[in-house]
Amino acid sequence: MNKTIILATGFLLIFGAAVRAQAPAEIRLGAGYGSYSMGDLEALQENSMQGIGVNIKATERFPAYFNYSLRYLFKSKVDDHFGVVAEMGSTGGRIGYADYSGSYREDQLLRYRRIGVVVESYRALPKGFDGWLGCEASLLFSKLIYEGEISLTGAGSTSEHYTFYALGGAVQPYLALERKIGFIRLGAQAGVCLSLSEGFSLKEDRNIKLVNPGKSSEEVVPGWSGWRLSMYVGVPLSAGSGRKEN
Amino acid sequence: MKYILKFSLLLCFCLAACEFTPDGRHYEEVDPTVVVSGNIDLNLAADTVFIQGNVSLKYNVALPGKTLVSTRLLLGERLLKESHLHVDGFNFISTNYSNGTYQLKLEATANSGTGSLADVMGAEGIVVQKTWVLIIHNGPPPAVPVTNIFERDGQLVIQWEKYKLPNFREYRLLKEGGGGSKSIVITNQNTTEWIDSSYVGNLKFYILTVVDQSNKESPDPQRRSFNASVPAIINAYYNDDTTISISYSTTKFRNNLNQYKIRRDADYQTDLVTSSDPLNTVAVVPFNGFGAETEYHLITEPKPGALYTGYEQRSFKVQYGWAFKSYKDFHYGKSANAYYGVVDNKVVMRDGASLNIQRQKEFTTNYLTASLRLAVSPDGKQIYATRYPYIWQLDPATLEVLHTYAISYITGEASSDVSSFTVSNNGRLAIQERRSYYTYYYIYDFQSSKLLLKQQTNNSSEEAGISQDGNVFYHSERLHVYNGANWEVLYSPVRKDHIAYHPSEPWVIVFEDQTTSVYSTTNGTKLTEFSTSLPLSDIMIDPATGYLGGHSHEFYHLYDLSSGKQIRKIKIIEQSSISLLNNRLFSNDRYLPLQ
Repeated sequence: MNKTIILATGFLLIFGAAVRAQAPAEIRLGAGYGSYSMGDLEALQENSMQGIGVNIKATERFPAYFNYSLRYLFKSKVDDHFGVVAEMGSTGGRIGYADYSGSYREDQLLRYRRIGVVVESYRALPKGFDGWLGCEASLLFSKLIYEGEISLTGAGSTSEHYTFYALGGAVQPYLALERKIGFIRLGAQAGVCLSLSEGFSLKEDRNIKLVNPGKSSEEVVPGWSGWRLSMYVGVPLSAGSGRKEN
Repeated sequence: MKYILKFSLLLCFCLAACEFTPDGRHYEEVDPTVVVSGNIDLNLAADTVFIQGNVSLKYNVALPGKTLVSTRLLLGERLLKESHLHVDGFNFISTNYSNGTYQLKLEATANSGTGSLADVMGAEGIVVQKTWVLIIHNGPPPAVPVTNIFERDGQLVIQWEKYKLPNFREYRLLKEGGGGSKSIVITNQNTTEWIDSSYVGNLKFYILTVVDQSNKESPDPQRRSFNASVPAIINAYYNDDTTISISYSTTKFRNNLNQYKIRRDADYQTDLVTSSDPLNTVAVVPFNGFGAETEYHLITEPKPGALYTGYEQRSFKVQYGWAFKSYKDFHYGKSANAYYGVVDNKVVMRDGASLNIQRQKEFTTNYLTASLRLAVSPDGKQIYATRYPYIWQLDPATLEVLHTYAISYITGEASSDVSSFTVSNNGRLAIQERRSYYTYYYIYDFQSSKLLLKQQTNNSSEEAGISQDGNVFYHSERLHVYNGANWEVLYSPVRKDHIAYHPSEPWVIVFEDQTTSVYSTTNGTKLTEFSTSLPLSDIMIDPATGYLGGHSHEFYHLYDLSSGKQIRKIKIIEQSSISLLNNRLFSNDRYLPLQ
């Protein structure tokens, strides 16, 4: 939640600066779908499955999942855009087992929050389409919520809950294609996220790192890199457009 | 602008709610059936185990296909050892526990082996156990109780409870009582019975102890007694003067009987009778004779055996005649048909026929140590008693005092205690007095109130005595006859028990060896003479019948003086003192009627 506030605060500061620049262009709201490369967390899952002694299976292995973004763009003198971007995404893993005697479950819930700057260059396209070639550079805030629970028939249940954080950075080049429909712009965007991060550490004590005991106690690092596809709606912030928006 | 900001924030929160949630469930079908096959071994040979001292317990738990969680060795509820090993051991110090029976349990906990989650987590398991009965016994072996002692087939059987603990070496059966103790050793633990082939009766104790391999013996054996009556003489009756028949009870332990023996005190080493017949109950044995009791002993001799502790004996006193405690100065007075005697300071008068007491009279003087003497004339008409310093004349029928005299009045001089005191039918009183160096003799005639004789001799042990007519007086081994003025020696020497005065006739009879001579007391001439088959002593003439009695060796002979013939011969005990009075023989404590 603290990260969310930081994200929101940062967004508001940049937003405020842009307002003072008096050259606003548009706000884009996007929803996308992206893949991840969570090798460390998959290895951690694998290690957990092997240590128990029953036939535990992974029912979730950090699949591709939706992300959501907000961009606030300003227009330069050469019709290029620059601005700020905030994005959030998530994925997760689960290993589990159940029989007549009880059940076993380990859930890993992974989230990221990204906030950064965006630069895009305009390319006019035929048939009323506009094209954009852009790149985003962001700070990357990762969060891992671990939940484990064992329940034995007649013996009750026990559960564990830990939260880890990791800080990193991401670069995301992309292509966007948009068309003006009425006063809004509807666009599709495809890109690649390249991320780097430190290993997860415990929320309460940053010195306590999450490691994989099955893999020479290496630190577990989130892997958010992957392709990104998204759709967005852009709302122009010119006076005329602003009025239409309202 | 404001609206856009609001919208953006709202969108952020909405999208955060759309984050990823892990999903999926994997359920495995696992067969919960648990099959247990395995073994628990302890280095104890049997299900019931005897423990003494320190024992190293080694155990081995085999549960194929299962993962052992723990083993627990428990004595009752007490945990001896907990382990996680399949093979382990425990040094059991049994002396830390009191003697008794315990349950030893070896319990093994293992996983269920189903492969379920609970199995893997150790929450689902199996407990297998095996128990042993553990008997701890430290210290000496406890005694086993003797359960029964009884007669069977004429023998005595001792039965006991079997000793159930191990380390048995032997039973020791001890027999005590009477003739000492004997013990036997039985090494077969299963033996629970022993036949005492030497028991014929009496109180015996049987003590059974157990000895173990370390030679410790039961410290607290039970002492069981058995008592059956010992054969005893029931009664004895006279067949004749020489034999008596004895009847006795028998032992019911007839097969233990060797023989019965009858003995008597007089010749104890001699078996008068022996009999091995368990049914015969009568024996004829020689008779000791009148005059003293004879003790007969019935000896029951058992057969020899391991528990032979000697023979049993029961004794029985036999007396010939009727019980009667005789008196000092015992006389019969024909005139009142009564017996007179002295006991302590009393003159007692008893009926001549029934012997019942008729009168008693006590005589007291200031001289407490002076003894009471009594003189009764042969016809019973004159009775005098004396106790220093008096002489009393008594009424023969009532014992009333007729006259009282001082002894010094009779003797005419200072006198002392009277040692012998006789009186004739005509009232001549003969007094013998023993003083320091001499013995004094006086004869006082009450009819004439004259002292007819006064003599002194050296001390003599024999008592003096006067004839019925007062004419013959014996003292100092001499018979003196009175010629009207002097006393002349008639016969000398003669012992007191070889003379007898006739109670009514003027005769004095002298026995010399086997010759009996009768002299006149009037003039001292020999009237007649006859011979007896045996020399007689202690002769006496019955004042009632006139029969003469005396004994020779082991017989008392009774003669009719008028015919000179022996009319009765009675077996007596030698040395016994016998009086012949009113047709009865009196010994110290019996009397025998002669009719």
